[in-house]
Amino acid sequence: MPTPDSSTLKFAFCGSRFSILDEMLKAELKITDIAAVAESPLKQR
Amino acid sequence: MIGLRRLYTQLRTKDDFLSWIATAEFDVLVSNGCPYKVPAKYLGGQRLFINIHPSYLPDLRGPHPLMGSLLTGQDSGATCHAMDASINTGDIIAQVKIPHTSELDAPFLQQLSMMAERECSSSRSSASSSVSGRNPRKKIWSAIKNWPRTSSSIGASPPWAS
Repeated sequence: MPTPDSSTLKFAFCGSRFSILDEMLKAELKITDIAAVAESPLKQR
Repeated sequence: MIGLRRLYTQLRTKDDFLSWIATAEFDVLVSNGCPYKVPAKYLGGQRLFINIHPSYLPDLRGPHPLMGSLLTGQDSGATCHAMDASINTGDIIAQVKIPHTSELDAPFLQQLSMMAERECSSSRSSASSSVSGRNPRKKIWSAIKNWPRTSSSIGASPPWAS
């Protein structure tokens, strides 16, 4: 499998703990989609 | 305004999540605190699906790992891993351990767990740890800026003791 060029990789974040998203922003990753989960309806897994 | 709306999506139901995952544009998905499971049909392709789970996997998979740690006395922590068709069983990229002690209560462990998750995703340490060495897709992970992370232990140098 070819190694992708890190500078062109598109990142997405999904979840409710945004400290990780903060780290992704600090790392200057190219973030193209963010999905924020409002709550944790575990029954719907 | 239109660009911001496209970038940010609020998920309130599982159907919201399924719609989002079907249309989101990414090469690497990072999940943290998402209660929904990515359908297997999306996994195993060229895109990478990463989850950050608040336990020292393979211990305490699934929901409520912190309560599980407190109830059973197992070590806690955080693990950054690739997703596969099951829950919290994919290749491990990085881990941080929080050794169980009798001093841990739920609020304290939750704070430490959030620190561990952050450490798991932000360490600037060398990627030459045994954890990353086990990763069969190491070449891909190593191409991602500041990924993969290394393995460490919060308990080895307690932040509250410094």
